[in-house]
Amino acid sequence: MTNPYQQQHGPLAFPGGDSLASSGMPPLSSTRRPSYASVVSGGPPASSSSRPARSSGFSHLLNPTPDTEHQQPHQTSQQQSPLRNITGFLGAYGSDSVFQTSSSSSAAATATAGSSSSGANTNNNTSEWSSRPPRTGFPHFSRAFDLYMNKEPLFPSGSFSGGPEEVRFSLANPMPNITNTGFLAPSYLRGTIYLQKLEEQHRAKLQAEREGRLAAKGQTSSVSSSTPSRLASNGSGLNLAGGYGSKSASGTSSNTSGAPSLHRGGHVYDPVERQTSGSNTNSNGGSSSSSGYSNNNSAADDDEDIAPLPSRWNKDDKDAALEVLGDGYEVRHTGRQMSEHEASAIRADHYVSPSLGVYYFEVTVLNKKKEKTPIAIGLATKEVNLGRAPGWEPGSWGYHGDDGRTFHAQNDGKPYDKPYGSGDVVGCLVNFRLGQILFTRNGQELPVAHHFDLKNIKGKLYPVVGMKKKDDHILANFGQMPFQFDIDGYMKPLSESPEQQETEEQTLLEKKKLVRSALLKHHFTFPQKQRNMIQDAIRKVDATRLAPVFKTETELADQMVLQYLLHDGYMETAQALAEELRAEREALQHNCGAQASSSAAASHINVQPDEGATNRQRIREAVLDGDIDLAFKLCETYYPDVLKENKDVYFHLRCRKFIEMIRKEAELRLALEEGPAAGRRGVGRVSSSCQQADDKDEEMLDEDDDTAAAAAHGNEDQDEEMSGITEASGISASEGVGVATASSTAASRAAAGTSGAGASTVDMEGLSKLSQDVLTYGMELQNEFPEWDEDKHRQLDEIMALIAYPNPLRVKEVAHMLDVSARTQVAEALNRAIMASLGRNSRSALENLWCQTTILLDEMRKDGGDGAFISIRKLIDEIPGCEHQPSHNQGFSFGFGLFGLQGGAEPSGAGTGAEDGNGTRNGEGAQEGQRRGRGVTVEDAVEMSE
Amino acid sequence: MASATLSGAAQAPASLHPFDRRVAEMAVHKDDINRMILDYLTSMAHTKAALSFCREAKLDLQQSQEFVECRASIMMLILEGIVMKAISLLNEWDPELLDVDEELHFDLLQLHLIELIRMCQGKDPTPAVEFATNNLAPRAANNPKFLKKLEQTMALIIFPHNSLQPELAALLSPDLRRTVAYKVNMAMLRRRYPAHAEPSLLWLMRTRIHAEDVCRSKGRNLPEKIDLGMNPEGQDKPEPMDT
Repeated sequence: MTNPYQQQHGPLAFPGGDSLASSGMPPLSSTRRPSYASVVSGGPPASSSSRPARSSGFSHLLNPTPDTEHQQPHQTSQQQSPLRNITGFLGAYGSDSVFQTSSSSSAAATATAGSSSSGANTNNNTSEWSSRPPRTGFPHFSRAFDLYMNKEPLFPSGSFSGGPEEVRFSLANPMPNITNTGFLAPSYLRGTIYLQKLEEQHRAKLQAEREGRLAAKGQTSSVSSSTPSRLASNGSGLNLAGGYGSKSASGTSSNTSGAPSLHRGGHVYDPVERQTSGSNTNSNGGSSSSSGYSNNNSAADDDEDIAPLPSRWNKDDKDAALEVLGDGYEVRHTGRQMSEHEASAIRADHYVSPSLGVYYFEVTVLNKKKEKTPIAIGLATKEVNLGRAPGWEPGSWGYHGDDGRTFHAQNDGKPYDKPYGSGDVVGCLVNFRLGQILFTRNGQELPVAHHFDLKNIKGKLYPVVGMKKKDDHILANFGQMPFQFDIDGYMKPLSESPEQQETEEQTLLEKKKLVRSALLKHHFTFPQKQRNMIQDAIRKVDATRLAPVFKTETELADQMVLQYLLHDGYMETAQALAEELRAEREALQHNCGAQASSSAAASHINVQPDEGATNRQRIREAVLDGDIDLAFKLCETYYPDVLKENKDVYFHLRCRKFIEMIRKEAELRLALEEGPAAGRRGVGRVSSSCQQADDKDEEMLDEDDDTAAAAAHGNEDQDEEMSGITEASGISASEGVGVATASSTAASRAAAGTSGAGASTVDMEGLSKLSQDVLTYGMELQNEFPEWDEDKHRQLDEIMALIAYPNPLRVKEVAHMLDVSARTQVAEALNRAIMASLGRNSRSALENLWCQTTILLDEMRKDGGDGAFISIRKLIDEIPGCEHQPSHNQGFSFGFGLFGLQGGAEPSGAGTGAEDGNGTRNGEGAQEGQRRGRGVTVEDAVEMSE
Repeated sequence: MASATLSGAAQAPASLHPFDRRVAEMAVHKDDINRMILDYLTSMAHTKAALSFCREAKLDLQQSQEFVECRASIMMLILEGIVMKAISLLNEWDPELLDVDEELHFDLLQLHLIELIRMCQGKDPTPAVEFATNNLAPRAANNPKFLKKLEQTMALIIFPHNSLQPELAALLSPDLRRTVAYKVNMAMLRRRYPAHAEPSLLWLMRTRIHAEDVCRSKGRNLPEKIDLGMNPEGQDKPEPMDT
């Protein structure tokens, strides 16, 4: 009577029956859910109703519903202390802000801190949101798993560290291969381009949802709030704040920017404004985003190239005698009478794309009775009759438990291996590249059962299981959990380069594999060979065929690099390279009678210091340095029409300027805020000569605390009608007074004999002027182009929201928005626009090469061919030293998030990342610290585990 | 998505071949390209260019500057034909490299022999013969490949250099220095970074050709010619759009 599944897996995969139950995991056979799909698609309306009702302060932090992100401060502040208030607010942003974590300055910090406070918040947010269905695959246990989810990034820890099996997957998490946003990433597919694309798609979906939500929020807030809340719809300062406050500006800006100093002063802040429309907004936002999801979902399914992986049994694609249980992984036969030649089958929800190269799933037989059972596991196309067992019909393949035979379009099958039954785990592996289907039993690989030619298969293959008797009961593992069979071992040779194999000592595992392959020699071809063959083929290629005018590959490469450098305005490098190439050629003449016979093309390396290129370079540098004003000026001088004709670029430049201003302000503030501690420490170290200054600082600090407190009181009393600007700047001023004194600058100046007070006054004044400027500029920005489309509005809203943070640089969730590395995106966009205006090819040969290769590889992959085993990403990731450059890559993904400057070949569009991204990167950071960020690609995971 | 157009993936004209249009509309990750460029510059030991590129593109050097400079100086010596100095530097860097890689060692010695022959052309060839006897002969004795190379090289002593078979003339061409320098560079890289032997750019170039071959053999719909958009002059002037 024991549950065979638990028997099988209990100790390893699950912490045991008790904890199973307590962790909310459906105990496989006992708990039944009416249908997983009802959970997924309908979903309990928890998000809308539960949200406002929550009273626990903690859950508050965890559960900011997306649509309330802007209202959050109001709502929470009614019940919470200011600290909570702010944290909740940030939390809302954190979860909503799409983009992974990646500022260059704080990359490591963010990454490692990912598992700590803010990361935890973020993860919680995402899983918690998912009371709305689309967010996770497992809404109903998202709560229960929050604890684990926090620690579980997109990928389980093991896959990054490549540790042994027992530490590979967290025991605490029964679904280690599914992210908290419901992305299924079976370990063996990490490293494939396919999964990478799926992941991007997933992100895009989350992003789309989020946009939908934002749009919904836009509508609802304008309905619910008496003041128009569209930022650009009205030019007054009130509305500037109204955009993210959704109420009158004075309330918001005082609330948000004033809070920390208030907190410092120890005053509980009671918001001026009461938010009354919160619940209303919530429900609206919630419903609209879930509908957005279903659209997205169906669209994804239509995508021929990158269909989602099979993830569950499809309750709408089964024989009537079967019922789907437990989140869609379990299937049970309800025992309808049937004749000899009948059976009941069910297909999985998605087909297996040949582009995967290899696909594998496992089925555990949960039957209570220990006997051979006519269960059939295999693959079938959509056309196959579900009233027949897999393998009986053309278009289906199956390994039958009652007789141990395999079937394909036949009624008697062929002898294969032992029968299987209760407690057995049977896997089905399809290798599209080799046209093979084979099975595994209890982790043992069995010989190839069938050969197929993809061309002859009409339709797509779905995982399928057939049953015949009442209470036949199975549980599928579509990769959400570790497999019994060492599929990673099967795949591993695919992702290793031959060089590594030659140099690396053979591990025990590999030795085992060799033995196995020897045993199964006549049946089995190792995919490793495929990979090696492809690599050899590539190695043998003579790249000069690309442009036969060049004699050697390096000459061609040199020229391409030069062209790229010139094209993109890296003048200094281009000149340095040209010089070095020239020097090399001259060296060849040394002591050499004969003339070096360089080909015609390479004989004149010309890097004229072209004026245009220099100008472009200056513009680029200005942007990269954050001096957007200078960039504008240079553009105006040299390319006056470019920005007029490229409104998008213009917009991004303007936005960037705003961000730079915020950044400057935040940096200044940071210096001031961190001042006291830093100052004292610094002074202490400097020794007693500075003691006096130190004392002075301390004194001032006390005074300033009083001032801050007073200011806080003042704020509370301040008139509601007061304009946002004045108040905001007023607060920053008071805050400045409160904190400024012992700033590190101040301390150093004090040590140098300057009066600390004087310094801080200067800083403070500068700061308040800056704050003022920021607000003024922000308004200017919003009023400048009232006709901006939704997308721009959203972007504007996003960056405008930065004002709300007392110091965005301190807030991990938004700090990346200020990251300098995002300047690159703006600089590139501008450079492109300029190039285009000059009528030049907007792309260099090297970029063409890149794109062409990517697309050609895509083509190669289409029929499960060699392409599945080659990836350009991997190429880049193999560059030594690249893993130590988190900043660039990560900042780059921010570029996506904020501006969508990078579309990518993938359908990810703007704003990849989403909550998923957060979880991923946090977790990844926690695991790897310095691993590079973009895409956290699956390949990375594979590479790391290698 | 509207914002994606900014990535430079201009709306491609409808007249383009579908493949070209996909290429034109695909957005490039500048970051990746820049890293590939830097990888190329460092791998090829273009020290100054690499350093300068790090500055201009705000990247960190992917290898230690010392390593890059070391390879650059060794390569430069080989290019200048000062082979023995290069060998001693190489031994200094890693005493085992040339022991492990016999072929590379032989190539270097052969190159030195050629330099000696070049120098003593029309004069007494004794130094060259002596060097060959002492250093190359023992290695070539039981290696047919080395033997053939040695024989060819020794033939240079006998024949006048201005009327050589192409096969032999190639030995005198300075391009041989380039080839050997490249090999040494790659060997050093491989030794330091076994998993990343060759610059990713070269690999990308080959992959592009290979992938094109495969796709064509499968009858995929590709344009007649996949153009790189590279004008051979390498000058900064307007380039024709891909057609």
